[in-house]
Parts: sequence; structure tokens; C-alpha cells
Amino acid sequence: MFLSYFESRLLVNFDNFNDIKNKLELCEKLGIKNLILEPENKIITIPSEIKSKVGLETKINIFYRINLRLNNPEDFKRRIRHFNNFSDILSIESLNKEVQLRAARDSRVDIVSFSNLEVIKTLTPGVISLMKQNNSFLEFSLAPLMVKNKANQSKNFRNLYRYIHLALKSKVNCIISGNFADIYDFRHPRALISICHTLLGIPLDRAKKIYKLNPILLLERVKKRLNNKIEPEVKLIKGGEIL
Amino acid sequence: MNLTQNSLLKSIWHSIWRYFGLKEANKIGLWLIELNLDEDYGIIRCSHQTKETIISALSLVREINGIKVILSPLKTSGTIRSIKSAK
Repeated sequence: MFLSYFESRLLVNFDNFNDIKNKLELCEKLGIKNLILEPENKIITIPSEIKSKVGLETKINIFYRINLRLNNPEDFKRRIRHFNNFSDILSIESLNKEVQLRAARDSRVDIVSFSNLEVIKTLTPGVISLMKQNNSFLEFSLAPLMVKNKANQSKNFRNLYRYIHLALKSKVNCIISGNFADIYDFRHPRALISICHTLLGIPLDRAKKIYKLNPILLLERVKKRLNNKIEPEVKLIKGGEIL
Repeated sequence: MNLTQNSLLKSIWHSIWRYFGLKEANKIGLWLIELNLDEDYGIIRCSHQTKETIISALSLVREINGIKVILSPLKTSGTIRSIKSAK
């Protein structure tokens, strides 16, 4: 499978199809080829009718993810139960360290997200190490860089720089998404690679890998999870025929 | 105020100064070869060593004269002739 750069997070409102259409049109105009959509509202499964409708609307390769914002371990336990053999990408975002550790250990969780500026400050080497063992993905976002105030922007650059380098040093799988709220902040992933390289000090080859190869690995992880439903040596028989 | 060649260049330089400072700005050799606002594209010439810098600076421009804009890279090339033929 050869795909070009990915935008790994774009928030859309699934109740408002015009919003999706407008955002997809702009992404197409920018030349984005692969996009991972995330519902704004608290949907836990994306209906297949919407998926096919979105698929017909655009030439972009669309993938889906669900992001859970959790406050405590009990909440995590209660809500993660619905995601056994989940067919899309599942990400967890939490300020609570216990939740982060559980998410990093749980094979159902594909991404532990540190996109939010408050959340990014809670990232620890312990969580990174657990994620590395579980082969899950660590997510950062460049959205905090798109602020007007110079002082805040500078602070955000510093925080992102610090934690991205902590992750890179430990060689954990990581993805850097745009996650922009305003459509005028949308940028092509190639532009984001340049920002990562020049302003966040990520080597160019590594930055390209983060935007190109890592999302493919993430999708393969999801695919593998679905294929693992049937134990090896067990064959599906339908109407007497071996499939 | 509308988007003009001057205002665009001013914003790009402002972005270069803001994010990269004098040390990078003097290496760029920025030149706006063409700007076609009807078809929404422009051609910028810069030193090949500062390609990433200029792409970052362009990406971080968010508005020009109060108009929200997106400056996104379409194609990079080693020669002006090939970039003109790619239009």
C-alpha cells in the first residue's frame, strides 16, 4: 500500500453534512490525499451510511477515528468496553495520569493523544515506555501553533518542542496531526512537515515518516486487530464451503 | 484593502522575520516571480537551501490586510521553466 502524506485528525460535525462537504472541498483544494475524520459530537460508532455518503463526496482517501475524553479510570473502564474489535481508530485523551497509563497498556487503544496543551504537559517517560511496548501511537497536534498572540505562540512552540523531542528520543511511534478548528488554519501535511523540520527541530526524514509511514502503520494495526477475530487454524465455513 | 503583490510580499517577509529572524532571512533570496490571483497561484523563487524555511513561513501566514488567507505549497522545482510548465 503506497499512500502519500496524511492529515491524521480533522474534526467534523456528522450531524451537519454541509460542514463535512465544505471541509472536504477545502482539503481537496489544498491537495490533501489522505484524511482521518473525527466526529465533533460524542458519537461512539460512525454509521456506515455516513461513511459511504462521505466516500461518494470526495476523491480523498477517508479514514475514521473516535476520540474519547476521559476523566478517571472508572470512566475508562466503563467506556472502553464498547470498543472490543472496533473497526476504526480509537484514541484516548485524558489529563488523568492513571487513565493515560491504562490507555497506553490497553491493546484496544490505538492512539494516546496529547494534542491539547493542558494534556501535553502531563506526558511522562512512563507512558511513552508503555506505549512503545504496546506498539500504540502517541499523538501531538500543531493546532496550538496557530494563535495570534506572539507570547502564547512562543510558549506553545517551546512545549511542543520539548515533548516531541522526549517522544522522538524514546523512539515511540508518533503522529503529528493538524487538528485545526478554523478552516483557514488548515494546511497541507507537506507544509506541516516543513514547520516540524524548521521550527520544531525534527529531522526531515523523520518528519516525513511521521506524516507518511506512521499513519499507514496505524491503519495496519487496526486492520490486524479486525483480522485477529478468528483464531489461526480456524476456518470460516459458509453453506458447506470453505471461504 | 485588496490582496496585492506588495501586501503579499510584506506578509511573507513579516512571517520570515517573526519565525526565523535575520540569520535565516539573509539566506533566502526571496523573489516573487508571478502572482495570479484569478487562478489562485503564485511562483516564488528562493535559495534551494532555504526551501523548508520559506514553506514554513508561507504556511504560518494567516492573514493579509485583515483578509484570512491560506498560502499552501503546490509544487517545488529546481528551475523556473519547469515550474511554469507545471501550471
